[in-house]
Amino acid sequence: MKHRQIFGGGGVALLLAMTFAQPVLAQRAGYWSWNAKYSTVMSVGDTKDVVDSFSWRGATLDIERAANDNLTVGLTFGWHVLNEKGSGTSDFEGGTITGTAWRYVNSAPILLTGNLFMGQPGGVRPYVSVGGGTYWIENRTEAGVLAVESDNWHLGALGEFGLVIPRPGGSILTLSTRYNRAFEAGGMQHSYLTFSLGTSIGN
Amino acid sequence: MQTMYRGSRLSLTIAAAALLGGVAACYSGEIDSLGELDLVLTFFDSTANFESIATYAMPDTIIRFDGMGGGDDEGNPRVDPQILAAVAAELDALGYMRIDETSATPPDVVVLLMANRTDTAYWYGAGWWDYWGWYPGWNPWYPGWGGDYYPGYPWAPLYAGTQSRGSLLMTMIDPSGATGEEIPVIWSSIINGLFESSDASVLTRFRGLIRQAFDQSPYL
Repeated sequence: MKHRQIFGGGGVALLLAMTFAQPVLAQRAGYWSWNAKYSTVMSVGDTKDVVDSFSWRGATLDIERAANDNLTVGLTFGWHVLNEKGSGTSDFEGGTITGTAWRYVNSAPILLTGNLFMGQPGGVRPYVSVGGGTYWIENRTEAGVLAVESDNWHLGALGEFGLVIPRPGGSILTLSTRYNRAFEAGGMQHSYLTFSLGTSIGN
Repeated sequence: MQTMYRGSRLSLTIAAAALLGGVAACYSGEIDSLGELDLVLTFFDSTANFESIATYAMPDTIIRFDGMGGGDDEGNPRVDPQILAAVAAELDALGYMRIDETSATPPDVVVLLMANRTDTAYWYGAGWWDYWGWYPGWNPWYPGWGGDYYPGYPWAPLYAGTQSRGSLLMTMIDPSGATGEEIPVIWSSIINGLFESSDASVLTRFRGLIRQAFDQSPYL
């Protein structure tokens, strides 16, 4: 519930910012842009071993400053959720457990990014991004009325490719696929993909 | 201006979707039935010789257990006898022969049933042995056993002991292995589920869960 409150406050601020921001084309040197994305999330690699899931629950916010027409640097934040429900019997050393388990992975990335745009300003532009920073990831398993939970701060990196599509009126649509990699911390490591649809506003 | 408005509206729509996506995050799992909250945990002493068990004794009571603070024998007369019968049926199906306290020969194992009425407790080292002081089987089989005696779980992982409201604890002790005042537990099961709904519904669920506890303990 605490997480919801934190995100809820940020979400309201984001909504207000986007309501009053003047939509103009970003990607000009010195310009700032905000890119709010709705993200779907898919587990891969190590995370898939924990939660084999495609989730519709995710949000990403990128704040970028253009160094020139083709390069922006910035910060990315997000809240990405994976969950899986499964029933069965598992053995462990000295015993066995049977029941229904709900597994959750909640990830909050905070990374610095560099974004390279191709094509001509004002047109549809493919781009690639790389980033480095940290992921706060919580792992939670609920079974019956019991729950086991752990959370860790991971060093992490991302790679992304996408398209920016100018819209009439000055806003920009973005379509992107991002690979998120959180390196080992607390005995856990994670990787997952996000597929995002966003809108970018600069001022 | 119309174009500007449409662009802003689209931006707001996507921003709102991002917001809603985030608000719907965290722990969104749905529970479709009470049965999905049921849990069956079984633990065993890997050094015990289960193949040698031929007889068992079991008190005809399920002790109500409130964790560290003590217990009483106030049970549910509509449910408890049938739970006891279900456990006895499983033990009988294993080929164990039930004997009572009038038997001249002590049983190989004693099976004790407890149910809790508190939200959370730990059975590991909880010191509930004195709850069973009334049991006639302790004397003459085990004269001298008293409230200072306690079940020992030297093999049990510490995390094994979480209980919640609606737990049935089955414990199998090996009286012949007592060392000092510690009587070794060789098998234990925690059946965890909510005692909600009608007695008939609870009984149906718990019968299935008791069967599962024995099914997942093939060494018995």
